[in-house]
Amino acid sequence: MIESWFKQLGWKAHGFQKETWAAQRRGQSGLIQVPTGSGKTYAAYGGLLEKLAAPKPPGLRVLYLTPLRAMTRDLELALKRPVEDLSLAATVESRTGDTPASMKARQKRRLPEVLLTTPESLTLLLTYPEAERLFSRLDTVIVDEWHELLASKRGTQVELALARLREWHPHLQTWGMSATLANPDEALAHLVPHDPEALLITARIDRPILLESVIPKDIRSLPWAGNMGLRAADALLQKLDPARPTLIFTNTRNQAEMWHEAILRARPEWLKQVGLHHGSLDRAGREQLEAGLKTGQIRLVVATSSLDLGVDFSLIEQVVQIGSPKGIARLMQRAGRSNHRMGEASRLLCMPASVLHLLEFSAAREAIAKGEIEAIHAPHEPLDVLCQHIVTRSIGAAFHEDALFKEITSTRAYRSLSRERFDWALQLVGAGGKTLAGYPDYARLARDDSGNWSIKETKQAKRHRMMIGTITSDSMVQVRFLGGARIGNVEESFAGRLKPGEKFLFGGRVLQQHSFRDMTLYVKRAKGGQASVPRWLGGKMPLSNQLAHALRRSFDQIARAEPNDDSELSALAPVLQTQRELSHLPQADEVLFETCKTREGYHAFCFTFEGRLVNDGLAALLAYRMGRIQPATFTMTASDYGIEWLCPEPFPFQQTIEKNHQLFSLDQLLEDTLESINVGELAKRQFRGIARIAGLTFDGYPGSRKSGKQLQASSGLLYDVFNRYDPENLLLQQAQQEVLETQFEEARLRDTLNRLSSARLIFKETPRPTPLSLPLIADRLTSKLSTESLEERIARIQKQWLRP
Amino acid sequence: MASPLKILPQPADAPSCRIEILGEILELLPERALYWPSRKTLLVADLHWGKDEAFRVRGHPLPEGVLTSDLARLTRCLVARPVEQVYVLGDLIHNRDGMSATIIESVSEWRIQNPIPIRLAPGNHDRHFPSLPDAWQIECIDPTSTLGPFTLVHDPTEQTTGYAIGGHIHPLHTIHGRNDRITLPCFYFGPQFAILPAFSEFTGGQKIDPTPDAVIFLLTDQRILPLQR
Repeated sequence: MIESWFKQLGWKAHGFQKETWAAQRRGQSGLIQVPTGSGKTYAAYGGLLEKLAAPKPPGLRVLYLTPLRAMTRDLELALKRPVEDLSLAATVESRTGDTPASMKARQKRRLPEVLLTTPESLTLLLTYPEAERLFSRLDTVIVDEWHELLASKRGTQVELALARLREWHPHLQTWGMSATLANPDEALAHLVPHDPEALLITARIDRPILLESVIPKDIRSLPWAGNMGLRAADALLQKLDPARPTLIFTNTRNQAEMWHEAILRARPEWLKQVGLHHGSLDRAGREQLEAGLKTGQIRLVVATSSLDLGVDFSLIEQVVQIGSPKGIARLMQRAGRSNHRMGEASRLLCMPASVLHLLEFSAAREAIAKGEIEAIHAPHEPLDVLCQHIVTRSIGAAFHEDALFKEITSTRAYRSLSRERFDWALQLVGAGGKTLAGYPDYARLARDDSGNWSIKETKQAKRHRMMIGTITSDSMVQVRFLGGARIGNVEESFAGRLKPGEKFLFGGRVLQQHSFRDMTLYVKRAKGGQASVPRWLGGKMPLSNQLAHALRRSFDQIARAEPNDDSELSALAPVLQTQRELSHLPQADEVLFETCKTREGYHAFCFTFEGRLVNDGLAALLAYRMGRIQPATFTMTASDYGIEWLCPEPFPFQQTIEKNHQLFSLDQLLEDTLESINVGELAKRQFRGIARIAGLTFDGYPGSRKSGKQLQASSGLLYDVFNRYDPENLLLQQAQQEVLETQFEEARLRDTLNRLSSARLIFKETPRPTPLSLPLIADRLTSKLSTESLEERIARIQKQWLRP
Repeated sequence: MASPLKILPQPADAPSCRIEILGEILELLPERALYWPSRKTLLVADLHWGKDEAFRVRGHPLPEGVLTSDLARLTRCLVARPVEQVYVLGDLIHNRDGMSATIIESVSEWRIQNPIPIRLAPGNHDRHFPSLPDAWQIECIDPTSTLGPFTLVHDPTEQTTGYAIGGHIHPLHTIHGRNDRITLPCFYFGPQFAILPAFSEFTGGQKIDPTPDAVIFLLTDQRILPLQR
C-alpha cells in the first residue's frame, strides 16, 4: 500500500524503508538507525498503513511518540498525508500540553486511530481510569528520536510506559528511530527488551559532511582563551549571506545572544532576516521564528541546541558551528540540519571561538570520516523515576505489588532492580517510608491485605498529574515585562542572582531587572550601557570521549610531524610552534605537565584532553593525594584540555608526581574522590531534580503558588534534613551516584588514571604560560579549593578583599 | 547616622561575639540566639516549630529530627548561661498542620524539663494557631513591646520608633571571594533595627546586603564572625 502511494508521488523507496515495511508486516519490532532527513518517518509508518486500512472498530492503533512538542504539528501533517491520499478510514491527531481542552476531553472518550504525543502526555494518559479501554486496540508504538530520549530519564519514563502497554498487549509492535549510534544494540534492548526477533535496521545512506573551518586572515585575531571569538567575527560575516539560508549553532544561550547581537551590529540591514532561537525564549516567539525559517522570510538564525532536533528546514543550505563541537554525534546532528535532502552533502562551517578550536575541527573531521561516534547510555535504575511511576500506576487502577515489580523489572532500565529497593520506593511514596509510619492517615497510597495499592485521594492524584512533566523541566521562572507580556523563561538560579536594575541581554534585547517575585522575573527595556552577560547553565557540556580521543590523535600526528594538509593545521602552525618552543607537543603515549611561576603563584598544569568533567574530578583527586604527601593548599581549574593547580607557595610538583605513582592508583578511588571534592554540595544540587521527580517536593499548582507557601522548602534545605536525619535514604545515594557519574564521569576518570600510570610523563618548566596553559589561567571557569574548613575559606575570602 | 554599635574585644577563639549597643551589652551566640547578660534574657526568633511536621502531614515523607535538634540547641543556650527568661520574637510555630499531637507532646515534655518563662511576641505565622497549648506555658505578649532601650517585635523593619530587635526575614548573607562563594545565616545590626537569624535550621531565608552603616555577623556552626569591610 505504501509502495503504491510512493509510486503515485513518484518517490523511490530506500532499501531500509522496504526492509522495515516487510518486517512490520511480519509483526516484528525493531530500531531504525538512519541519519536525519533520510525518510525515517515513512519507514516506520509505511508498513502500518494496511493495518489502518483493515476494517476494525474505531480506536487507537498506532501511537507515535516524539520528544519535542514543537515537532508534533509537522509530523501530524506528514502522518495524515498517506491516510488522506489513500482515503483510509482513520483519523490522525496529536495530544500535547497545547491541545485544546475540548479536544482532550473528546480524546478521553475515544482516541484517534493514530495518535501523536510526547512521553509525558502518554504517561498522563495512562493515569486515567479509562486508559485500559482507550488503549485496548493499540497495535504499534513508534518512538522518534530514541537516541535523544534514551540518554535521559525521559527515556526511562518511556520504558516504563511501554512496559505498562505490554501488560495489556504482550505482542505490541515497537519501532524506534534514532540517529546513527555507536551502541545500537543497547538502544534496541532498552526499546524492545526480551525480544530475540527484534531487528536493527541500518540505512546505508551516504551523506557526506563537508566540514570547513572559518580561518581569519590574521590568526592572531583569534584568542588563545575564551568562548566567544567575536573579535574574529568578520571572518564569519563574510561567509554569511541572507541569500543562502543558514543556521548558526552555538554552545550556550549566552554565545547565541552575543553573536546575534554582533551580527546585527555589523549588518543592521539584515534585521528582518536574522533570528535568535534558544530554549529560554517564549514558545510563541520561537514558533514564529520556525515558521519564518520554513517560509524563507527568516534567512539566518542563531540557535542553541534548541534547534538540534526537530522540524525539517529544507531551505537551509549551510550550517555554522561556533566554538568547540564538544562531540562528534552532536556535530553530525547539527550538520544534518542543512539541506535536508537525501543523498546530498551537508555543508558545515566551523567558526573557532578560540584558536585551539581549529584543532578540534580538524580532529572532528577525521573522527567523522572514521565513523567514530559516541555511545549513548541510558540511566541505570533511577529511583526517582521509579517513585514517580509507582504513584502514576496507582492512579488509574489499583496494582498488586508483585505484579508491578514484575512489570517494572521487565524493562531494561530496571532489569536488575532488587525487590528490596522496589519495596523501599513503594514504602517511601506509598506509605511515607519509616518517617510517616506514625501517620497512616497521610500516606498517599492505601494497601489492602492482599498487597493491592491504590491512591487514596483524588486531590493526590491531581497533584501527581501536575508533576508528571517534571522530568524535563528544570526549575524555571517566567520573564515578563512590567506590563505583563511574557518573553521567556530563565533558570531560577540566574534570576535570583540578578540585582535590581542590573542589565542583561535576553532575546536580542537589553533588559533591566525590575523585581523578582512570585516566581516571575519582571523586567523593563534598558537603554544603553553595558549589559551584563548572564552566565547561564548549559555552557558546561564537556568534550565527549570520542572527540577527546580524536584530539589526542591530532596532537600525536602533529608531534610526530606527520604530513597533513588540513587548512586548520597550517593556520595553527605559528601557535603550535610557540607551544613546541616553550614546552612540548605531547604524543599519544605521553602526558604533558607544565610548571610555571607567575605573580599569582606556582602553577602546575596537566594536559589530559579528557573533557572538563573528568579533569574536574582528577584535579581535586590529585590535589588531595599530593596534599597528603606534602601538605599544601591548591586552587584548581579544569578545562576540556587540562588541569591547573595553583599554589601560593613553591610546591615540588614534578618530584611529587614522578616519585609517587600511587597518585594515579585506582585503589581507594571512591573514598578519595568523596574526600577530595565537595560531593555534598554538588549532590545537594543534584538532589533538587531527584526530589522533584520522586515527588518529595511540590512546586505548587500553577497560578496558586502563594497558597502553597507554607509548604515550600528549597531542595537544599530538604537535602540537609534528609542527610542529617535519614542518611540511609536511597534517593540521597542516588544523588551522590549521579554526581559521580554525570558530574565527574567516574568511568572515564578510571580510564584516565590508567592512562596516566602507563604513559610517559613529560615535565616542562616554562618561562611563561603556553598556548595550552593560558586558557586555564585566563578562563578560571571552575575553581575549587582544597579541603579547608568553612572558617578557613571565609578567612581567605576576607584576605582577598584586602588586596586591591 | 553613625552605627550605634561597638564590637567588644574578645578572645580570638571565642565562639560568641559581644557587642555594645545603646549602652547595653549583648552577646551573639552561634546557636542563633542573642543573650542579654544584664537582664539574663535570651532572645530568639523564627523557631517555626512543626514546620517539618506540616510537610509530613501533607504526605511528604520527611524524616523526623528537626524539632529535637532545635530544642536541644535551645537547651544548650539555657544551660550555658544564667538565663532567666526567653523572648521569642515571632513565628514560634509554623502553621496549623504542624501542630500535631506529636509536636505538642514533644514541646510539652521539653517544657517540663525547661520550665523557664517564655514570652512570645507573635509573628505572622503564629496567627495560624491563636491559642498555644496550655502545657507549653508560653505567655503571649503584645506584638510590640519595650524592654530597656529596645523595641521587641517580629518584623523590625516595619518598626519606626525606638531601636527594634526582631526576626521575620531569616537573613542570609553571601560573601564572595575570587573563586568562592558562601551563603550563611547572619545577624544584622543596622542603625534603626537589628534582625536575628531564624532559630530553626529548617528554614530558608532572604539574602541581605548591609548598608555602609550596618554590621553583619555571619554564623558558622561553631562561631560568630563579624563582617567588617
